[in-house]
Amino acid sequence: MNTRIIKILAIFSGLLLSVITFAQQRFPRPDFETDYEAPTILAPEPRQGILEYLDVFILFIVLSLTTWLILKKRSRKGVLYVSIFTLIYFGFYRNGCICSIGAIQNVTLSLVDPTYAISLTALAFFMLPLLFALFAGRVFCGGACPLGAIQDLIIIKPIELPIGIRRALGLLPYLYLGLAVLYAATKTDFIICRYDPFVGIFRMDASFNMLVLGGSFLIIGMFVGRPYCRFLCPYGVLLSWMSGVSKKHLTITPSACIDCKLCERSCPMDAINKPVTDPVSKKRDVNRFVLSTMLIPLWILVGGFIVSKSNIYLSRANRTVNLAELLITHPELKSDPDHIDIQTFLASGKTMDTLVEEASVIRNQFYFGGWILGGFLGLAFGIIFTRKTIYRDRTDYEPDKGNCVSCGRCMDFCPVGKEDLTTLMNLKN
Amino acid sequence: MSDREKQILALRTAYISGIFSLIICLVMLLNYWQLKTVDPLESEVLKTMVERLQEDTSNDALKTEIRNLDLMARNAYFTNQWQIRTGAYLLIGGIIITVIALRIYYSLKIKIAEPESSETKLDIELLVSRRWILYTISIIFGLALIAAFLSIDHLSATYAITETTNKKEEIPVRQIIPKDAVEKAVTEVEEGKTEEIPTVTVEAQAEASEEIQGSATENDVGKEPVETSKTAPTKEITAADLLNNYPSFRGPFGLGIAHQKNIPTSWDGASGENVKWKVKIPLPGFNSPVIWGNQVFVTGADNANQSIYCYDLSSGNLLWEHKVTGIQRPAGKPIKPTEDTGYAAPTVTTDGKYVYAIFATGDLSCVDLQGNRIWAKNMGIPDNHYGHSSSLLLWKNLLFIQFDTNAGGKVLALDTSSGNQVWETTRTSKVSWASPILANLGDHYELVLSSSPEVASYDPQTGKELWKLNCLSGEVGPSPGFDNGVVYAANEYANLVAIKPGNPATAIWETNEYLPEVASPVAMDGLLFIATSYGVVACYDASNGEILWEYEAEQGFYASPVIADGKAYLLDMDGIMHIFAIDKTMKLIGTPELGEHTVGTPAFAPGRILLRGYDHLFCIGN
Repeated sequence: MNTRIIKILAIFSGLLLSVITFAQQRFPRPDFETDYEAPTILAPEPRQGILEYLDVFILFIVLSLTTWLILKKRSRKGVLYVSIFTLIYFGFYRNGCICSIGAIQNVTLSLVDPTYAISLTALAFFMLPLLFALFAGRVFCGGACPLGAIQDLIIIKPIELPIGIRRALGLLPYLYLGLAVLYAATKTDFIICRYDPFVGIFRMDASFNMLVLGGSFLIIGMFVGRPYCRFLCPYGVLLSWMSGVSKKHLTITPSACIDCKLCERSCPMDAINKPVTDPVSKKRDVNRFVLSTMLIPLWILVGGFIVSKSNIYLSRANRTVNLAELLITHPELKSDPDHIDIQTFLASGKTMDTLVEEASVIRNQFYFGGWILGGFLGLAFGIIFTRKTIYRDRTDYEPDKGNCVSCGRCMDFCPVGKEDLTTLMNLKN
Repeated sequence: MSDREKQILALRTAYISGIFSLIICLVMLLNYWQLKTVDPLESEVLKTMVERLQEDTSNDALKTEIRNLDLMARNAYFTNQWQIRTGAYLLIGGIIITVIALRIYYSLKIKIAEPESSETKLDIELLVSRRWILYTISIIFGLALIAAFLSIDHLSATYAITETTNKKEEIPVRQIIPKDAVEKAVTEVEEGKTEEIPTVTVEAQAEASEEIQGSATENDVGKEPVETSKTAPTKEITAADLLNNYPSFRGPFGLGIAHQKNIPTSWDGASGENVKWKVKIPLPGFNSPVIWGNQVFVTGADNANQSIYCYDLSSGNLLWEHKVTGIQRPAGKPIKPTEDTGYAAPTVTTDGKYVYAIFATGDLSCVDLQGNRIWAKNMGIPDNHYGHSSSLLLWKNLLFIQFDTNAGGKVLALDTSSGNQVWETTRTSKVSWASPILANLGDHYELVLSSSPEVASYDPQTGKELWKLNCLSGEVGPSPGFDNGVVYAANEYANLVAIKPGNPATAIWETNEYLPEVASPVAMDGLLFIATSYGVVACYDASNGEILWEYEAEQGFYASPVIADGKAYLLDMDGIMHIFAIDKTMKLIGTPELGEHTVGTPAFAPGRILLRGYDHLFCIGN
């Protein structure tokens, strides 16, 4: 029955996909009588309206399928095939855009700018994975994210990073999320999109530096499982929050854990929490927890103060601020005919006073936004620190609900419930 | 096929495809490097050929050659693009095969690890986690804090709007050098010859200060000066006095000719070679230094402060600072000059007795050589969208002010000792930023002014218009030049014109190649030097406008060229001085570097050059 449903869905999706090839462009390109070939453009072409909703539908299907494969079928192979499809469709075919990670910025901009109308597609790409994460864990990361898929497929010989390094690098996604929101809110830039290391690979076209960055992530990814997902992805922060309170989640064992330890080294992402049995002073633990919690407001204040004071150099990423400061510090550049930004400004008729006023307003936005960003970072770091004061008894091997990307690798290592242990025995020797 | 055989096959495939991918990657990197160094679309040869074609448009052979070369360049470019695309596909294919092969190899090789007997020490893990979290947070916040305090907010320092006040204030005169040093100060008019400057004791200065009270009213604006001195009328200045010093913008009479000798031709601001001294000027300003005897004068101003500074030429010590305050201004919107003009663009002038300074606010101040106010007044707030820039000029007992604004133009002459207006002539000119010059036509002097649309001449004694010629357009920044009875006027996007004074004045020749935006032309010995804001220096034959030679610098010129000691000194905006011989063929003598951005025109003293950078005043000497 389930197989039949899958086949029907696959055929239906295939038919819809075939429509895409004939209905790609709203305005067809002119026909040239010569052998002229239109060059490929850097940015993906705009989608027809109906096809945007098709993308949302496919995302929903992929998320649902991954959820079923993780929670019901418990099939790592199935998740792998879905990942390959995601990589091909959302990655290479759709050129990595629109993606749920970048949608953070669209949502942010729509919240602060009443003139910006976010498309339903972008909103859906933002909300759907979060909703699925709330109920089933980070299934988006497991099977529906092209960035995760390309990293997952490249893992060859993963190593276990020292815990200190993991904790330190694990703070970077919060910083990246905060900066992305700040820059989107001030209409400065969509930095998630600009510095996406894999989009150049998906589009087969990027600057040299971005290709080097993407290549570096892939090379690292051969030995460190999903480095972008674990140590940079801003959307992963939101997913980890949702997944942390999810009703259902991937489990290593389908029933009770027998503590056979076979899954201990199975996770390339070091997302398995091991059993803990050694006694620890609970009283000391509580005192530390209380003290750490009381310090959280101080973290928030310190963070807000520091980041608000950073408004000067943070705002320089904004083109208006950068141009104003450039003209103030180097007025001789007005005579440089090759500087397009300055020449455009001079031709616009706008006075220097107006430019400086606009830049000052933006810098003030960064000041107030800095308080919010710094406060958020202080709160996040404070909570993360506080959680490391909490001692939890654990008797089973469990995936960490926040960090587990639901790839399903660990499920293959668990012997519980497996009717045929031949594969496991072959793996043993 | 057994698992072992599959493993071997997978490993070999991974090796081959991996090496293949590596080779493709290296080839692509080489291709990228090659494109970076020799871009077929930026061919210098092609550019040169196009420039030759512009000079000789009928050369068909050259046209054919250009077309062939252009076609070759385009083919090279598209071939390169094909190579990149093909290489990318090959690289991706190779990487995919490598990855798949390695995955197969490791999946066949993978063994479930023997479970370890040791148990997790959670307390240690938590401790390590907390420590690393703290370290990371400290690093992130620490770096952010350091960067925040090291950042300079250029925006807020620039455009704070302040209101002028009506407070009566005592005129502040700050005596920096002790009384003894002032009494011992000497000037060198020429090398080997010294002349004592008049000394004033501190007590006498105090008495003079008490006599001078600020009591301006609104009705005083633009009319009678605020304060008057009780000093006796001074001796009239002579042409020799002016020629022996460097008393105004572009030297004596504003002509761009310095008469001092033994001027250095090499220095290095960064290492300090031949830099006699360097001082930071407290307030910003784009005006040029002026020298009289052993004293150097500059001004600085911002939206709240205006000052005249006097430095000792020998040591660079600040002799005094006179704050120009307490001058009643008319009601109206506060002045907001543009950042590249500022509040202190006009250069001071001096006659060896007094120093005269004007600012973008319209405030005009006269002080003696000890920094005591003699008189001050406001000329009316100039309606000038960049900011008032015209420098002052004087001759005998008259101070000339070119006051061209959006509300109309005029030229005035004030009595140097009292500030009373002697004459005023309304002009039909538009707003301008040029400065007046005094042209000696043998039997008389003429006050010549450039603006749009006219170059005009006035009788210095009466202000009567002697002649004018409509020959310029646009926003005129360069001042006129003069040599051998001919006036030279120029402006970017307009013309370079040689004018024979007279009634009517006639244009001897004109050209529109290589025109200056800000720097004024200078002429001597039949040669005319032009410095453009895009870095070209052109030497024209002053008699017919023929270009004798051109030179291209990497940076443009705002400072005006000055001819001194048989050489032309041209200072570009990067602070590099391009020194040429006064010759019909180009002879570059040197390009010493100051190490600081500059727009001010150099000033000259015997064996010395005074250069004003954005922040510092430099004295260069052998």
